[in-house]
Amino acid sequence: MDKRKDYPDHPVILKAKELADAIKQSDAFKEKNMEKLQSLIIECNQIITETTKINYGAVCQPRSGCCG
Amino acid sequence: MDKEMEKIIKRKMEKLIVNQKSPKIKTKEFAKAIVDSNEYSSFMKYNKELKDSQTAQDLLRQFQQKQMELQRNGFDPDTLEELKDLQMKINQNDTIQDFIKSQQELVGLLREANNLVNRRIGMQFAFFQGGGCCG
Repeated sequence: MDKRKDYPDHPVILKAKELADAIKQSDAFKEKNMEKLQSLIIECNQIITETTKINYGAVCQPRSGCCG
Repeated sequence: MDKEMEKIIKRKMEKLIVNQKSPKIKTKEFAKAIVDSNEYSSFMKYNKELKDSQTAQDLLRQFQQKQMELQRNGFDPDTLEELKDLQMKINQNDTIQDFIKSQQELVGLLREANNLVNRRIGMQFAFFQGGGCCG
């Protein structure tokens, strides 16, 4: 049985869309400056981890084995 | 309105729009949405219950010890039997099961959100710097 859930209207998903659009609007993204983009992404990850107290990078690693 | 004033207002409006779209502001909003979600509240509740439950902690510790024993000493039917027994007790322990379920739900939501960001920006958004998963 597929345990995967869909969350199309979930506030977290809606905010994720806005976040992705904001990254796409950033200078780093438009300039294709990978160094600037990477440091922006690291900073975003740090903000999420600090606010939620959850290691966002570890949880969302494709094969972290975290939490099943 | 004179032209100079018009220019100033236009610049201020542009700055405001840029700020509204700032990735850092949107990241804070995203993080706040996670903290405000039911999935997060449930996880925090059951995480605390798990930490506060001596029975659950003892079961998990015993299970880990048995696993290590089996790895260290190789296959042993008695240890394997004890491990199965502990696994059964873990499966029947509500505190542990509630924790696992809430963790899976929160992780599912976070991964779904992260996959969406990945697809939209065309690269990995989650940045792994080491450490454990939760808490």
